[in-house]
Amino acid sequence: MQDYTADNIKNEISSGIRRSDKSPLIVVFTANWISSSSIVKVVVNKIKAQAAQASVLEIDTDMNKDLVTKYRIHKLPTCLIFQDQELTHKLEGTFSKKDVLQYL
Amino acid sequence: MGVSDFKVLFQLFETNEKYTYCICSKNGAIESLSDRMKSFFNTSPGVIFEINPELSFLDWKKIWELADSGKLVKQESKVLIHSDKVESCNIKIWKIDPRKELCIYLIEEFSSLKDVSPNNGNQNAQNLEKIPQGEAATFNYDEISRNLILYFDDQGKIIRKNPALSKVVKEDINNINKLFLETDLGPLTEMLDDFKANPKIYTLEMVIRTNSGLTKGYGRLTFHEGNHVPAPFRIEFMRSDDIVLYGNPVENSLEQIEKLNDIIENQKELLMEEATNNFSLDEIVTQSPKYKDILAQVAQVADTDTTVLITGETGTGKELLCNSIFRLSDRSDKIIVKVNCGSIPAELMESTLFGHEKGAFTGADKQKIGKFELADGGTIFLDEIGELPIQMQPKLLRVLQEGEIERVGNARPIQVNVRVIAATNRNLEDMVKAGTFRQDLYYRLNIFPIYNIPLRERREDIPLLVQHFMDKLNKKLGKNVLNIKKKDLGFLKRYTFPGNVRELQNIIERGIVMAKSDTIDLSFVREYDENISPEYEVLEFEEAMKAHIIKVLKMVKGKVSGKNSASEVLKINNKTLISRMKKLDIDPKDYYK
Repeated sequence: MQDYTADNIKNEISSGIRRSDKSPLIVVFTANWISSSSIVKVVVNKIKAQAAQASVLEIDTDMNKDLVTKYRIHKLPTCLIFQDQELTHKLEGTFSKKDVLQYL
Repeated sequence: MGVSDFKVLFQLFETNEKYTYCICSKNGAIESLSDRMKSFFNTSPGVIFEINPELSFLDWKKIWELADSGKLVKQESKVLIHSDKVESCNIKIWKIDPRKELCIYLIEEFSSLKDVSPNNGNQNAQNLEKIPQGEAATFNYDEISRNLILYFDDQGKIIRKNPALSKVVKEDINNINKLFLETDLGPLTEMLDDFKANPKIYTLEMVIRTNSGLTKGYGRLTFHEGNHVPAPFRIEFMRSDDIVLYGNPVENSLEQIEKLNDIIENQKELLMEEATNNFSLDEIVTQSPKYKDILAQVAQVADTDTTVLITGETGTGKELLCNSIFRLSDRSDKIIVKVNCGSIPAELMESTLFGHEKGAFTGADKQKIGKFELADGGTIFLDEIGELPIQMQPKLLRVLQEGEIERVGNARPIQVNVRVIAATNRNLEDMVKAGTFRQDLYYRLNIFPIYNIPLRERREDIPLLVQHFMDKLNKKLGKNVLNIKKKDLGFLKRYTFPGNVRELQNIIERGIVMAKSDTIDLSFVREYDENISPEYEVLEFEEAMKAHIIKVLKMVKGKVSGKNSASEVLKINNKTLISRMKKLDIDPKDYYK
């Protein structure tokens, strides 16, 4: 499976081509300064470990303002779930592992 | 799953015309009939007496074992209708709900049922005549039953009895000339009016008194309004000695079960609501790396079933961490039950945590489910675990180790699956050394300790928390206080906060209430600077009360009652104040000026 970086994903998502495979993609918008940053970090790691079929990507919102605008991120953290190359779920606010895995 | 859900499920069986079903309690009494059966018999559950392979009621153990086997064992059986008519059929018993102790009886090849189909228009009354009057129909249950069966009228006069009487009371039937029935509620004849007002099947613990002595047992009382029986009341009696008790028959009424379930469900909802109301993970406010480390620990342990012990000073927000663990756990959609071990009297602790049976102790007039049983499948939060009485500690240890509880008054262990989060502001290690907390329990609780730091170790959060509480409390109090003076904030940043975050919240609340403009009034906190040393110690309640009363007496120059007196300032009755002062050894004369 191809590695996904913010640049990669930016290109794919914004160009509308998106990923070639249909496996789920989880994109987490976060920042170091939010209160729950440490929780998000642990939860994201747990998701990575348990959802081997999915790609998980953390986006630092301070570095990727254009993605924030494009996906209308109003609250941090926000978790976007893409399935079959479509955005299927948007979780706003601090989420648990279960919140995300239930949609996969 | 309630009985109605089962009904929906089992209606599927009726799509095959060979089957119908009914739901029974484990002693074979019918709790619910399928519509097809009901319409066929043109009757209610009370009239179809029982379905039971042995033709003897209360033979619970055997039925239960059959159901327990999990197999759909085909059993040749009889269905008793109108107390004296018997039909043959095959049944399969299937335990559908071990908790409610209900079985489903699938009735197969019930010959007369084959005639009933949805197209069979006037099926109700007419179908009664279509019952093949074969061997089964002439079979008389009363004659062959090994239980005593009596029919009697309103006055309690016995009209008919079966030969089993002599077996039951172990006396030649011809020698018995007096027969009294007494239920656990009183003499039967006195109960009849009450029973008539609410006709259903009653299973009662009762005593038969004959001239040969007393015989204890259980009786099932039924009512008959038709003409096919000689008397309105029928009782079937079985001796206690012949019964393998497998439960409490009196508790077996479905109504009671449903009522209890309703109560539990309501309470669960209430508990859920109380426990997690207004809590969101986004309410956590911090910039402190130290506190973020704690949150990382919370997230790390949350999705496991590991026992967590949260320690830290009073007011640091241990419950917030508990809520966070719960929200992040895989059990977040299940119940969380919160118990404050410090607020439950020691003598009630065991029954509160583990429940009790009816009659387990004086005043236990009902069975009660304990907090652990309530939390089954979910999470329990044991706050102030350090206050748990030492005699309760081995019992808690057992739950943690074996996952088993025992209700008070019942030695049968009940398996529970509960995730435990405990919290305390006491130093359990010191308590172990002092012998007031068991070491084994401490180790069992201390698997994943989380130490919640005091507010003075995360001072960088104080401005954020001030803002957070101002937003929150403005909403709560309907105010719009937006600003804080720089020197007030400066003071708060320096202050030691012995009461931690809770104290900060209370200061902000008081400041908002007192604010006369859109700026919070924290003038009162400067008193804290003088009055409270950094080594502030929590006073005992009586000491604090004494100090406070003395302070007020100084203010009012020793005047206890009347205008501008201490009782007026303190807003308590002057007699109450005087008796308090006597108790606390305060003499108002000392404060006359």
